[in-house]
Amino acid sequence: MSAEADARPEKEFGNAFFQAQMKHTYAQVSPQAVILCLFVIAVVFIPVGAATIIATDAVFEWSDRYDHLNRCTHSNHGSAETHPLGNSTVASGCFTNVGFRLDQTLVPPIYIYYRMKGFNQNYRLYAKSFNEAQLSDRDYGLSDLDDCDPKKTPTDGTITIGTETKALNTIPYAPCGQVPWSMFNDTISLFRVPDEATAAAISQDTPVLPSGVTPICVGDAFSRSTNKPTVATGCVKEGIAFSQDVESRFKANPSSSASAWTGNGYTGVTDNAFFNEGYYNNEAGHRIPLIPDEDFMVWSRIAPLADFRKPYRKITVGLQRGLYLWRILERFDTTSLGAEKYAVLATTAWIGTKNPTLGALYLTMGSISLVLAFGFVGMYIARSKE
Amino acid sequence: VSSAVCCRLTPLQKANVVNMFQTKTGSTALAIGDGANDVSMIQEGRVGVGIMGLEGAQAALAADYAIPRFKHLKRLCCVHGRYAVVRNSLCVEYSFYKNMIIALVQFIYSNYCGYSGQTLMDGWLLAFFNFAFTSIPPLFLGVFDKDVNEDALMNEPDMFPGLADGLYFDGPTLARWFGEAIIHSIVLFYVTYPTMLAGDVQQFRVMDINMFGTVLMTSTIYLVLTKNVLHIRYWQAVQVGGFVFSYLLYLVFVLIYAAIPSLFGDTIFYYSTYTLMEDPKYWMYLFLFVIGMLFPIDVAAMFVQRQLFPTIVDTMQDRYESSN
Repeated sequence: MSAEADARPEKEFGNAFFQAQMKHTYAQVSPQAVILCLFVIAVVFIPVGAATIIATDAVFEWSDRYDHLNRCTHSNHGSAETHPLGNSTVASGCFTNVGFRLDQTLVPPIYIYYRMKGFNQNYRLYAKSFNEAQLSDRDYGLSDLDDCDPKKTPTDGTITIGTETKALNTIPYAPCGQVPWSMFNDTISLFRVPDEATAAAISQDTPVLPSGVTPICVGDAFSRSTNKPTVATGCVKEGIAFSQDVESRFKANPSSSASAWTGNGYTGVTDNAFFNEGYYNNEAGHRIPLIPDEDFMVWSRIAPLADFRKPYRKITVGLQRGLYLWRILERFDTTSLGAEKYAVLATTAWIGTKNPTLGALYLTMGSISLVLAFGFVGMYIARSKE
Repeated sequence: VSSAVCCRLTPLQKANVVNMFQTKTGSTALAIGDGANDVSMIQEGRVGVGIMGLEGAQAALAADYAIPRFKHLKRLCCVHGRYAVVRNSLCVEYSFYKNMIIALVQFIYSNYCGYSGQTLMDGWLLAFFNFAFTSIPPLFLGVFDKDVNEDALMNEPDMFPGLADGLYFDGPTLARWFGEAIIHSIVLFYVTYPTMLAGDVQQFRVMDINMFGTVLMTSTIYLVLTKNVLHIRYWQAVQVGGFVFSYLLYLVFVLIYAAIPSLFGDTIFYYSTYTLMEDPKYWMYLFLFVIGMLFPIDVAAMFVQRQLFPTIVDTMQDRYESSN
């Protein structure tokens, strides 16, 4: 049967388009093209994969679990620090010491992270329990903060600020929400231990360290509002949070007033000591986070999994081989959650922290491409001989 | 009995014959006629074809398709009918595939967030996924694609029987598409899982769920768009424009979205695209999924199938299109 040659209209674009007769080409899966592509993929992926694996091998990472040593909970704790509350004080917190040995010299910058396992920041109601307008210094009303419940305002009762008496549930926490309320507030410090004898003298909850132990990084030697060091120490806090957080998303720094209960405290006369000190209502020692605090910014970035780590400090001095000590002032209760806390020491490379998977995958897919390319060449030769 | 001849039938009897055929066998009947007495039969058949001309236009007016001569029925069925099947099937299968991937990735994640309904990806990206980012591929597949040359379809009678057997939309083909969606979503999630755990970006900082969701969404979208490209057989200017536009649309969208400091009070996405783009790791993941996974697996499988187990479509494609 000869092809039906119906009169085809002239091929102007409009007509060719509607008659589906445009200039076209059918996709060809020719052996040459496929084999060439597979070779190119192999040639690119295998070296990249190898370079990635070499880079990630050079990265140092060390972590120590510490929450299981003293099991410092809200009800069972030591007296590591005392908090003023009106005319009295409240003591809470535990000292935890974990020693470790460093087998190689590390070159700065070296990063301290804290890691938590079993803490789900990724539950939906938790993940939206803060208010971005409040954090970024934009206007908001009390009803905009409903996502923050139950940590939107203190619950019952009244407060007298100066001569004004207000119901407590009209004064929102700033920042409000469960995310600030549950902020990680352990203080992690790194010390150098001179010798084995001194190390042996330090147990897991020794409150005062023996002399000879030198501080390298003191975790709480930093201002909560400016993030700058208050005491000279071998690490920095500025820069652990993203620049967009510091410059734009967490710009607010409200003061306590009749319309905001903040961690800055209140110097005037009130009948509520918690408000004066900047604690959460009825929670002595539980300080409300300050919005410009980079530790708070880092904590507010919700982690996708229940096993996560967050940057804590950046060490700017080199670490020699030898004995070291993590000294942690534990305030954060994970024991009652069944979660775990770790202190992590790590260096980075261009590929980031230790992560061998990407390199392994590149090598694998590159090798598969190479094998397939050779296989297809063989198949092509065999078939063209037929 | 494979055929029957009836003559001297009234219009009602013609309609009854078609109805009996359709209900008893469950098949689709194509009824074709040229006169007013064929109208009830044409309307009874699932596909009605009317021929314009000798006895007036009533049959053509009542029909689903109108043709000027009986001989054009061949072209209607072999070419246009076949293209309709090809385009519909590919559009539907591809739409299922891309929707399954995005839903399954979230479903796998729900195991890790306590089934609390937390989305892994940013809300706006999810909202625009079907509406904008992956809307052109199935649309253009469904409008423009052709699997075999028209000359092949008109000249090779062997191409026709496949249409009756569920061409491109039978059980095995559907199972293959759904299976690929499941496998691709598992691979997408678990290959990026170690990065979800470590979360490092900008060397030492740690990204949050929204940023990680963007990494996964970018990989998903480009994987899905490139898979579409592999299935396009008939390339012309509009098709090329469509796929280039889709690739660029997502890129421009995330660049613009990340430049907005506060969108209705939400600040979470601000600058995140730029942060991620600075880090070589995220480009590496993108290339791994789009090139490193699709070529050695999908393209190689397609190639092996064509060389070692060619179907009649493949044979005709080679015969008629290599001279194009």
